[in-house]
Amino acid sequence: MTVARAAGTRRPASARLLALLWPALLLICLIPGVLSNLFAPLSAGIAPDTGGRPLWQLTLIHLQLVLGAELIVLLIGVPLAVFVTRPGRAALMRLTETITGLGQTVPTIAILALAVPTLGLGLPPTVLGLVLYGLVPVVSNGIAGLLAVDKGVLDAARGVGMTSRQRLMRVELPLSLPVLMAGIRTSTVYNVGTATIGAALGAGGLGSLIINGLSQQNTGLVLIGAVLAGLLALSLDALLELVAPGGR
Amino acid sequence: MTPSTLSPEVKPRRLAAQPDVQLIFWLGGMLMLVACFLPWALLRPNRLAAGVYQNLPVAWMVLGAVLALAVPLSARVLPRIMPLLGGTALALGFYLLGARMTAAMLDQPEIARASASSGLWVWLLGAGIAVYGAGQIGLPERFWSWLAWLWLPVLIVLALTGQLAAWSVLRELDAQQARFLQEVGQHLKLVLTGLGLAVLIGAPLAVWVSRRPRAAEAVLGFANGIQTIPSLALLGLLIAPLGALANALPFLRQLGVSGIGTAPALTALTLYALLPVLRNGLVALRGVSPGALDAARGMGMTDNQRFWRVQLPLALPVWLSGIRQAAVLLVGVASIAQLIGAGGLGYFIFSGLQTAASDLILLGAIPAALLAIGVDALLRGLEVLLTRQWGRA
Repeated sequence: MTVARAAGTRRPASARLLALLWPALLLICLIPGVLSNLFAPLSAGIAPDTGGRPLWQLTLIHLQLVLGAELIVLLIGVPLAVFVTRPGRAALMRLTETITGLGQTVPTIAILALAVPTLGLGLPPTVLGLVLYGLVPVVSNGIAGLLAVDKGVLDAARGVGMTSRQRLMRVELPLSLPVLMAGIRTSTVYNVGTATIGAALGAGGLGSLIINGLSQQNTGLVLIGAVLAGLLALSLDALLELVAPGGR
Repeated sequence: MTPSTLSPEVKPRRLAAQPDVQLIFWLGGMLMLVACFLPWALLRPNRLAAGVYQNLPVAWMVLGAVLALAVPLSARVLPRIMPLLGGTALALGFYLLGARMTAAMLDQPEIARASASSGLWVWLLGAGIAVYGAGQIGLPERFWSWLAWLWLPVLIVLALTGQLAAWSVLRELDAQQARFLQEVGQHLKLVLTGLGLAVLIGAPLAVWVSRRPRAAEAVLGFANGIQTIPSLALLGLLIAPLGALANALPFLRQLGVSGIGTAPALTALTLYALLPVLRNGLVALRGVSPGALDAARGMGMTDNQRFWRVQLPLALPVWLSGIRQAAVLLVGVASIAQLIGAGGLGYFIFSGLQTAASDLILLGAIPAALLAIGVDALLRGLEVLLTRQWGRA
């Protein structure tokens, strides 16, 4: 992690240019016909059937799923991190850390599958899984960032007469933002993968290409889905690194 | 090597739990209270049909509510009994799982299924939080703290005496016991082989690149990129090259290499586990204090001796935490390996999803979750043991 960060600070210009490589590749692959013609030899000579939907539409559904869930994650995760780091809630903070730690340990597919008996198939269990799994890095990084704020700075803020609310909004949150952003980046990239697995529950998106391809033994279709899902994850990772430099 | 000092921490006696710990008991207690009024069982005429929800009988509802309120209230006056109270609440949850399912299945035909519903899960969550809170009080007496583990022998006795057998998930297990053992074995085989290969490749690589900063950058960048790719996509990407390889070289196919099955799954698992093994290895090897290495040189050790007797033992605890992360990650990736025909616990999850049989889904998902938590706890324990033995790196 430290190694990656050092590399990033040493060559900002070239790193920035490199960050656009994955999104550019993704856009090229989304031009109709590019991927299906490329992988046609693997699908018995015919262009693989993507279920009547153009690839850009499936990618957009996937992206919507990930970003929509990330919005819910932020709406829950940031207030939660702020709530448990206030004074007098140390035990609650340890409980939150323990539960998020457990969330990280339990396999993604198990979290998704455990929600199915209650929520049925399709979008609801997938969104729940995306939110629960996405919360882990946001909450743990949010807590770590807020705890790392220098006590001296907080004392100074109190000294100039700031209320606790002003201290939070003007000092603590801005200072902890880099660590929080790194958590958001991790969470978004994880969720591209979670959403891919969500296709097994019928959530749609790029994972459905992989899963349909596997069940139809159509390697071309599997590869189209896998290449696009991989490129989407690498693109989001690279783009978010521009906003939030540093190791994940 | 420093001898371990095992002096127990001396904690001040307190008459009541601290306010922040009391907050935890309120949270647990309120969850348990809500749980009493939620449905506990779902009775279905067969494993696929819709069913009817059943609440707790009034007597249990009242008893549960009293216990739920006792948790936050006694935390204020009698913190000493909190482990006992939490352990009892959790044990009661497991007892009621068996008792309510048995009651629901009474006079029902063999094909009917009784599954646990929201009330039970919320109760277990609340009681679990109460047990966690009991561990946070910092009681001076060992004996009272151990009572929080009361639920474990109760659960074991309930399971061994067949009290839980009416629960739909265990019915499902009963029907496919041989298959279950086989898939658990396959899951473990996938995880252990993938982890073993990752350590065999990653450990020498980490040692080699730890002295070469430029190579370290490239290797870490590659491993980082691999981990960014969704696990399912990586499994998919490996199908074509491995399939082509097997077609081109028949002897590989005879060894079991093909696009579908164990070979691509193991390749993906190994690649996935490489990053944590490499990254923590590098951090650990570089984190060894130069003073210790200088001292070793001063004692006349050769480079080889310094590595084996000083650097490696000091780096091992941190490195092991990378191996733990890798192992936990692999339990998860192995759970989706079924999609490329490699089996494992994912077999039950995905066949359950296909036939909309929720008990079958749980038969895969619950053991997979427990396996991940168990592997994590086991390796954490090993880390603590090693750190004590060799001192902090």
